[in-house]
Amino acid sequence: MNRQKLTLLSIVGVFVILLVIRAFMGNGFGRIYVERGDASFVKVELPVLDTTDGDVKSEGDRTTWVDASSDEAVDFAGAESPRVAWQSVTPVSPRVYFEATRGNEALQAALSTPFDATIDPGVDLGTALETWRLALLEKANAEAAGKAAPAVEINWKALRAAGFVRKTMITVKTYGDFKSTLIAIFDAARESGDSDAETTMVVADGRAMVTTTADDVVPAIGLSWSRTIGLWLAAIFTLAIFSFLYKDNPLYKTAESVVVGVSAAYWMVIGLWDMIVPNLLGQLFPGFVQGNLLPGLATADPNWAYLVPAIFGALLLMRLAPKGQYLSLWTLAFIVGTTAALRMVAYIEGDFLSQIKATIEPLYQEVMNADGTVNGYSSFWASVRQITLLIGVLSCLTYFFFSVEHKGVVGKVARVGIWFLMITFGAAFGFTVMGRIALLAARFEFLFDDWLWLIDPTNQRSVAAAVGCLF
Amino acid sequence: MNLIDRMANLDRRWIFLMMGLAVGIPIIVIGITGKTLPEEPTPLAQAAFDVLNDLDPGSRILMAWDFDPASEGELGPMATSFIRQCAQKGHRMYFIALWPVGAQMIRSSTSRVIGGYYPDLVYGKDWVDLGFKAGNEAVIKTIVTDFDQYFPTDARGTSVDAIPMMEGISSLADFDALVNASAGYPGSKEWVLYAATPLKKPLVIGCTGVQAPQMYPYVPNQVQGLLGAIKGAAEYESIVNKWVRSEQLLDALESGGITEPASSELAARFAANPTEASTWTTEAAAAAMSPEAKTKLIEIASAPIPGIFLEAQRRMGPQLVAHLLMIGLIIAGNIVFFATRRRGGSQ
Repeated sequence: MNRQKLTLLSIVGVFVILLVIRAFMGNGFGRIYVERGDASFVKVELPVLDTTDGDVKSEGDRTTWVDASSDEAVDFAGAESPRVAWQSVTPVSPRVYFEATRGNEALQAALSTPFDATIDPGVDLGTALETWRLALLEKANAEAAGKAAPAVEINWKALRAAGFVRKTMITVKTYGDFKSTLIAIFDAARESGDSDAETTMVVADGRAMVTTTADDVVPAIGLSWSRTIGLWLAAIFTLAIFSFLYKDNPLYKTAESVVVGVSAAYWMVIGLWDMIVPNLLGQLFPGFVQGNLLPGLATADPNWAYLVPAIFGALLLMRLAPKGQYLSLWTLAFIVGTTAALRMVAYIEGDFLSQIKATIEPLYQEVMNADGTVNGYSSFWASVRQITLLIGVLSCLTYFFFSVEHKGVVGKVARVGIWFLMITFGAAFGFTVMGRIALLAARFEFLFDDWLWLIDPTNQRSVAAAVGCLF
Repeated sequence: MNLIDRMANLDRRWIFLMMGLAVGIPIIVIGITGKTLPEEPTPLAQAAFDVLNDLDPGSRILMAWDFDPASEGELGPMATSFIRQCAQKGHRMYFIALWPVGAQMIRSSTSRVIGGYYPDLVYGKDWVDLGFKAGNEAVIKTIVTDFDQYFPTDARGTSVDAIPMMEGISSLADFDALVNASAGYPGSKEWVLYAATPLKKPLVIGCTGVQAPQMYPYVPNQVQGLLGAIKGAAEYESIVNKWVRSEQLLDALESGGITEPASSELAARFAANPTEASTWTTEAAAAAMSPEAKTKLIEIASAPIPGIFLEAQRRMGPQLVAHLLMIGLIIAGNIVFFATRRRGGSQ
């Protein structure tokens, strides 16, 4: 192994060791958390109203899918209306997860502490549970020490469904810690004969929920493995591309090939769903598309004029056929012809005429103040700008005018033109460099912030977490 | 081998390493300290702000996000600030993309800004995502006269007929201004040639550094505001941040009983110098305000600006160090060149 390879191997080894150390410091790194919830949509017939002339007139109904919790769903959905439900996943910042975890820990600790509040004999179930809830909340907040905001909730909807009634008079016989006190409260309620349903308390997502065992409470905030793997892939591919700076290598070539392949597939899928389905199929077969592919698409009569682009598109695909390649030339001819015409018109108006007009301005530019007087300073510099612009245009045009030999006055003017061009190229190069550094900075920010959690400029994890991982 | 010879034969990978450190170290320092460099807005950035600020609330703004993750580092902060200004002003925002990945950029920037800081804005009434359309300049050319032909649905597949804010939109002429964040073709130039020039619509452009020199000739007749590269983004970001703070302070002052014109003047003063707010609340002029209103005013004045609205300004730190390194390398390179030539070692 030569010295160069040994150096590279050492650098990579040190980097991997630092990564492993980093993984066990502070809150770790490179994870994405999500909040899972339920999403439900229902199909409704919404009335279409015309209010253009002030009066409300019905123009029939429109079939569409709406959120099951929306006002439209409440007003227009029936029991037999088609419904779809799925699990929604919303990314949340690690801070939310950390706070929820701290809240859970504070609640668990508080539950084991002695219950030192008072529940009077002969109080009703609702009051007893509220006294217990407030006391637990106070203890949990003290345990959290401002690092989280734990919550304590009584799921009265589930308790009522199981037969527990708020007004039931109870006498709690024994006190101990918060857990045993809650058990004692429900035992007293059962003795009163309201319900013998099993109750439970679930601590999740930074809150304690008192409910029945029939109520399925699952933690909503948690690690998303798929997104975390995506984040790590993004980081590894970024490093793989950077590795080209050392020298060309298989890792770089792999990353490059993946980019090309993924981009091509992405373009194809996006093109299908954003163009071909709504803009072509939606025009030719609106009923089919509305019923099977895009429920939100407005129904209308087929527009058979779209057969023309459909045929042209199909002909373009003939490039792939061994014997029918010439057919694709018709489409290409159409594309070339229309694009040339479109560009010619736009460039004549937008580039040629407008730029000539912008150049032929008075050399003296008057800039007015808000009170109507002339601003001498601004007028002077505006005039200098206009004169410079004119000199620049004329000298650059002279430089590109090759019918006359660049000697004498023409040569000197052309020389000035070269200077203008060089300054322009320099400015363009400067802008390009600035742009490239900004892109590099953005990639580094991704690695340091999203992946390694070394910095936290957007307060996703709290400053303490960021500093804690460095030292 | 002396120093000149060593530098003349320096492996370019050392330059890459130096550049990596010049960019990486300031990012870590700024990321931990939260300090950014001050920005003095240029007239072009100010003009971009003024175009959107001078429009009445509720104006229709077409926002074309023609870029991809490769240029997100430059254009992402511009997109964020454009949305923030329009959302704060109360404009209606119509997002479209001529780049396939632009649709993702729309989702990313709207979820960060609208989802995070303007949750009261209603989809379909205050903003709508019309998604990506293939066709490059042909899309622009078509929607100049017929908007529905290219956009029968929004990005979620909802018919535009069912979207309240699409009522009255039949062509590009129905918009009050156009905003474009562009990384190349199709992008800023196409919006100038096919939309802004024939329609004579106000156009604000945020573009990459590579494109910026091509766009300057269009200012101010065909392009009213131009943000070039990360520097333009940082300037515009600082203007918008200061203005939003000033608007929030104005609300706090007026709800505390301070009326115009004093409220506007004070809001501008406190936005420029937040520490003045706490001093002013102890003065006789603030006697009309309740203690709660004073506390709220001080809280607003001293609240840190959210990190997502400082992205461009954060990236100016690495710019400074990297440019200094580059200038140093250019000087060193010239010294090496002339020293070698004097010795006759290189022609």
